[in-house]
Amino acid sequence: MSKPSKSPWVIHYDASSCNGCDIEVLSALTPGFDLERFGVINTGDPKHADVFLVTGGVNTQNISVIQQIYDQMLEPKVVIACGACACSGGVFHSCYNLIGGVDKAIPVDVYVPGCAVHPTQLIDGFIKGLEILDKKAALMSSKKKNKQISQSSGVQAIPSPEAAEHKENSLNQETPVQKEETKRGA
Amino acid sequence: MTVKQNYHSIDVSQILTTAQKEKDEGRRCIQICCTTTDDGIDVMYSYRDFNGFSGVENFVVHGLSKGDEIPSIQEFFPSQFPFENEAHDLFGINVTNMKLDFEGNFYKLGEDAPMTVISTEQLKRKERAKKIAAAMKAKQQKQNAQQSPVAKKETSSPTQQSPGTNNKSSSEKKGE
Amino acid sequence: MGKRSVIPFGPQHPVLPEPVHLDLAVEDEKVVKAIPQIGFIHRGLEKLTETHDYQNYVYVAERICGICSFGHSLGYCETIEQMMDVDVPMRAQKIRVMLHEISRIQSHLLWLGLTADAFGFESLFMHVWRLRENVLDIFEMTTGGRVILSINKVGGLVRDISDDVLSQVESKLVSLKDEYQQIEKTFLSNSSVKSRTVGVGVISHDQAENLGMVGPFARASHVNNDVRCLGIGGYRLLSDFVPILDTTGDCYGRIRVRCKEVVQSIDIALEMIRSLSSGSVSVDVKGPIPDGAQAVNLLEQPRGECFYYSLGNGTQYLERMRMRTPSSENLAGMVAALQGCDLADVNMIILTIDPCISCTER
Repeated sequence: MSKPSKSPWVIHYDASSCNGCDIEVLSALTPGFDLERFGVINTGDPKHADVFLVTGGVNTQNISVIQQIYDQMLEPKVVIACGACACSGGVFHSCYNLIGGVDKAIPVDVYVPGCAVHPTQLIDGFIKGLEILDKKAALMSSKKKNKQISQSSGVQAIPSPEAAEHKENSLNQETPVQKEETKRGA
Repeated sequence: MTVKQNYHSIDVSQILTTAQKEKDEGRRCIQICCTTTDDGIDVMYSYRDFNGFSGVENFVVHGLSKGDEIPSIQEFFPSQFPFENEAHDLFGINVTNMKLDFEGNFYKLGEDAPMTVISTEQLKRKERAKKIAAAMKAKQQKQNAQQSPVAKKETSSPTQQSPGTNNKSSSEKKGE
Repeated sequence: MGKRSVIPFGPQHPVLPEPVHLDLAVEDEKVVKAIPQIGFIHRGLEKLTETHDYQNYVYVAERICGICSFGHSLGYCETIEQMMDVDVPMRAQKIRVMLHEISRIQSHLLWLGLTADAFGFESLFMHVWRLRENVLDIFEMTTGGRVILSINKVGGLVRDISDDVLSQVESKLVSLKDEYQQIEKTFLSNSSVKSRTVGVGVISHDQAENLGMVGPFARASHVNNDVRCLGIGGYRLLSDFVPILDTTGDCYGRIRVRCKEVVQSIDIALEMIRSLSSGSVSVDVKGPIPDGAQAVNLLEQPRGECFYYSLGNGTQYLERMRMRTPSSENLAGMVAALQGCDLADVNMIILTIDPCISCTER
């Protein structure tokens, strides 16, 4: 079965970032740290992207832009908030024009702190994001399979007790906003 | 070397004539800045020459309020449009006859004229500083009055040292 | 006459790392008018002087923009030092100039890479950014940070840099210069680069002066406005500084000015390292700012002249801190350069202005 984590395409949007995290995101994609060797491509089209990298906090003008890009992306998708401002507003959290971190606009899957975020931290957070992406993809395809079975036989599929237990466990793990924090490593 | 700078107070009616004069003398407007002070909003226009440098000339209009009108200088200096629109959005100053007018949508803000809102902590600090300064001045005047004319010759003038004069590096030598 | 339509450009666009929205009124393929819409990055950080005292505000000032970060912390500290009449030690001034010039190298290399990407030369973009990693390594070994350095404070530097590290920096700069000169040749003599940039987005000398343009954007139209010539702060210690000017006023001229400035900055940084003498790197600055004290400061950042103004009110907190960044001054020039250009050249022209929207909006 093909996994989206094999070659995830990324769309990057600068919400209200000072640019520090943006240039570190680009540094992660260029020869210094080279995410491209894992098949990661920076695309400008939300419909081509699997991972949404957002830098900077949210203000009244860009909240709708972030939501529009998120809505246009196709499932399964993962949102990674890069940098302290995207996580919670950073040093600007008390500014009059800042609403807060990216989670005020869209559900976030991975928070990567740092000011500016270091490319190695970003790669760490990215890999955690890819694990979540695979889980979402597996859940989607199992839902699709169940739907196909029930449509073809006209009978609602009754899963075996073991299958039912597994599904319940994976549903409990897969909460709508799965938050994982990557602590800054030594 | 510190930057050579001069400050002049002007009236709202002199804004356009000053801009015309500075342009004729070969200077350009490098920025417009608003400040919320205790006596109202100050608007500062800064000018600098094209070739060579004789200093930054700053012309300040004092004591405006939110909603007051000032004329635009975009006909002389088109590059000032961001600062005039900012003055409107952040301070509530109405700038008339703008060539490029965003009509309040330069920054789409959640609140109106946010830079005119001073927090209570800042106001309290300023009150406290003023009280301390007034008390020190009164103490100084009392000391001066108590000193006799003869004693005044012997003691050096105990003027209040500005904080800056204590900060010179003792290891600093000229011509290094 | 062709039909006129309005094409929205941005705020999310693959060529621009930052969000800016332009409404391009086009007739067939020619842009007739361009109206910018900014405000996506406005945070309102000038108001943070109420919550951060003047010593702590340097950490906010350096986060106005990640690319011009060191420049903003330097300009802010120099303004407060002027206001409080502080004499910064010579060693600190020279190290500040050295780091600022290395910051200029980093900014220009970043810009050169993005420009190469904008006209489709992706391998050149990757090579330039590979070179740029060497500069970020210099920052990491001297200050500990790659992008936000946090080494300036009011009164000098937070910590000294040892002679050992400085000699490593010197050898890195020398090898960078050799590698860079090969890349510079590609930028300046490659026919595909020239065909995309020569004669595009032309601004004449008179137009540049009337529009108040600053930085390499204006120097490509032969306007000499380099603040480093004025000898403010540590820049008075330079032995011989001649600004780089070009006469063409088009995108190619702007690329040429920035390419040459990289080499000039490497030379200035080497001059500062080689002329360093021992001494302290900071003085203690204490006490509140006198009521009514004000100061104006100018600094030549990678994008042009930056203006700083501060006003004290007798407390430890500034009454006002104003930073007028070069990109705000260049917005009028950008609108003028876009008029009459081809739709396909819009990316190229916007990038050659080197816009730093986070600086403009603060």
